[in-house]
Amino acid sequence: MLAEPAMATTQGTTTNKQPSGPTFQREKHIQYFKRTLQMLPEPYTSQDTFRMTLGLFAIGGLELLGVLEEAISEANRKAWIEWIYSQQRIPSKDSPSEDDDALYGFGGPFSGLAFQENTDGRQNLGCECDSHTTPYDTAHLTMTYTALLSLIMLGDDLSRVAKEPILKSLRKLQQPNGCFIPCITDYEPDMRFVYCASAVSYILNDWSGVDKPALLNFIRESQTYEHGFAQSPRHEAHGGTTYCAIASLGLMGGDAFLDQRTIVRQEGETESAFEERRARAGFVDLEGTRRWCLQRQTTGFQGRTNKPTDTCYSFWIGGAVAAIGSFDLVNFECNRGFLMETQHKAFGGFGKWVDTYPDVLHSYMGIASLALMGEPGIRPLEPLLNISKRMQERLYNETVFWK
Amino acid sequence: MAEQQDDVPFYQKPEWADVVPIPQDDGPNPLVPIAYTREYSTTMDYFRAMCRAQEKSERALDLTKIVIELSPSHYTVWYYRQQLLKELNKDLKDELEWIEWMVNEHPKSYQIWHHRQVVVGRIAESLFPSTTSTTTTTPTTAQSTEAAFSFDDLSESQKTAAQELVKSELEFIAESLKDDTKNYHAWSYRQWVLAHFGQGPWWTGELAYTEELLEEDVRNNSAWNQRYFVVTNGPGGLTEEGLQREVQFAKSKIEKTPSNESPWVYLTGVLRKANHSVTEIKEFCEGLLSVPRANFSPFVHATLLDIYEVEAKEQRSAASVEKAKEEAIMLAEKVDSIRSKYWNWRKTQLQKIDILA
Repeated sequence: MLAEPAMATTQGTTTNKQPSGPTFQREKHIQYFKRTLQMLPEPYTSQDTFRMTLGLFAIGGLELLGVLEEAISEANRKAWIEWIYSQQRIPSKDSPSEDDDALYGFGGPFSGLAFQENTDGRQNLGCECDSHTTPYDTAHLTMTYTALLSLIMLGDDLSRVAKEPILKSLRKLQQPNGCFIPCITDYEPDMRFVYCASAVSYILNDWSGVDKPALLNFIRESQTYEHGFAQSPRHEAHGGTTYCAIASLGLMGGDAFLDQRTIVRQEGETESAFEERRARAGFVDLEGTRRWCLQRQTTGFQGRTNKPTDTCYSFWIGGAVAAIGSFDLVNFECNRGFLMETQHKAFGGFGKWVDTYPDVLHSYMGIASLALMGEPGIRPLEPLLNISKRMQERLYNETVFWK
Repeated sequence: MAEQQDDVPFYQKPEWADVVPIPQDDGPNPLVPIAYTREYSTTMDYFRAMCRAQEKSERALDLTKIVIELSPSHYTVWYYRQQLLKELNKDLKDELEWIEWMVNEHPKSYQIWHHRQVVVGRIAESLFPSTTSTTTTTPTTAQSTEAAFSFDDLSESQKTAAQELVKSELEFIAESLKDDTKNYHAWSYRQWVLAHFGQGPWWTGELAYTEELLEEDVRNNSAWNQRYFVVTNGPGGLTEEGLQREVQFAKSKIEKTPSNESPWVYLTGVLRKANHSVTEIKEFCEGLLSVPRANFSPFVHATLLDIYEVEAKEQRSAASVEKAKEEAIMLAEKVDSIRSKYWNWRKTQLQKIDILA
């Protein structure tokens, strides 16, 4: 279970006032997500290989708005579960090769592999990697993470997820400095994929694919003089990568947020496990992170010092602050006021800024940010996985890696 | 094969007649289908065929360019192009020109900047072999800001070649930054260029470059971050002399724009890096209280709060706690009220400080 940080948090007795001011256009947003699930307009072609993420935002948006099963028919939920599993890359049954280890996980249909169907003799488990497969069929860490969450939301128990191959791919994708690349055809190690690897490990309830000390070291090295976290060591502190760093630490076990002095050995805990927990504690400058995050609020939140606000940072920064137990220190009124402005009045959804066309990522992030503030009509959100608490419960109680 | 100069799509030309296009198989009920244009679908049908066959040819290379221009964040096409450039032994200088054009069209694409890094890395390797253990024989050590070369160990002609390459890359990045002075990818690539070739003479120019950018826009936090990178990672690291210079530099910028967050965080950052206490700038901060504009800067008061809090803890002084509380109240109620909940929380933390009765 996700450990609540045991430290004295800043949670005070703030009560949730009924929000005043502009209205949250709940119905419009429901229609927006329903439309995106029917067909994404042509400009989304530039995100073609990332369709799996777009699916998650659309399904997740309806889930947060409390209408998933109502808005998505059972037939569609079943069909999309099959579509997702068809994107899984698995080892060849007859002659699995170590060379293919990095290819495993979930990808997209754009490389031309045949769609896998359930037949009488054979379940749809995804595409086997064989002599026909090339590096261009590879899975991608972000698609693996978003596929797993989408499956859960659509009601699947993850029983067809090939866990061991995914863990093998994680081992191939982790770099000597602890960071992750997303796939072998995209050698860009950065904090976003640290988060994806952490989320995947958490969902699979198995961290054996990850060298944790190396990962922790990379995260620590990426905290800048500003106390936010950058994409990589020495780059500029950034809201998105701060969320990725903090959420990864949270998923690994909240000890990183605790003062080392507060760590005491638990009953039955081995010496080495205790030492490992102690080593993780006090890992980051928590006060600095809290301050840097809160300083990003101008109305909504900016992603970097002296940059303009953007809807999605209300989540990236808000989520990071929630993860360290200080969300009550956010100015709800100003944050909500900004988000109300970035709703698109005609189309529903949220754009990055005022009077901007909505896109599915900013729409999800806008709603997730409102969820953190307890907006009526939105399900409560688990910030570390960025899904509803209802789905978090489903992960623990109904999926094969946890129950 | 020439670029597409006419209106006939490449796939209708005779050179492509032998290729069997492979359609995308999205199944009977796909998740979030996209309304592709016919041009895109067909182009990708042919691209799929090239990938399936892993064809290494000029026409495949040309097709990667077409696909990239349609879909710059496609996560396999860049790798395919990199394989083709190597296999066909293409002139990488030409590639650099094309990347320059692409960067102007799509400055926010991670992949384009990374591709530049791969190409420049290869050019460097062909000019002089890596002399340190971080040699890039596998592609996985990309984007580390560790040096792949020891500049001092290069021959004279190699040193000249390195300097020329670094110079032209820094100029390319500077040109791109003119359009967006805070482009994260441009800055991240710039750090790689500076560090990859070791501790060469280009580091000294970089400090001046950050100064130039800060003259244009003192609120450019990316330039401040770069400055921190230079003074802490450049030859010799952060010396005591360097620290004093940076402290003066930051202070002068604060005096100009006291409500600008960047120089404040920079100032406390370099002090901390050099293991100096924030209390060293107490006089400077207190002095700003009598400067009309500066008195309303939240950062003057926040820094004083930090300073008095440190003093309170070190000296267990009730007077310091009181001064710190006043700053917290000033922030919560007057100069930074959007964060009143945070400053009030800081005030409650002050109560926990162990003071002498």
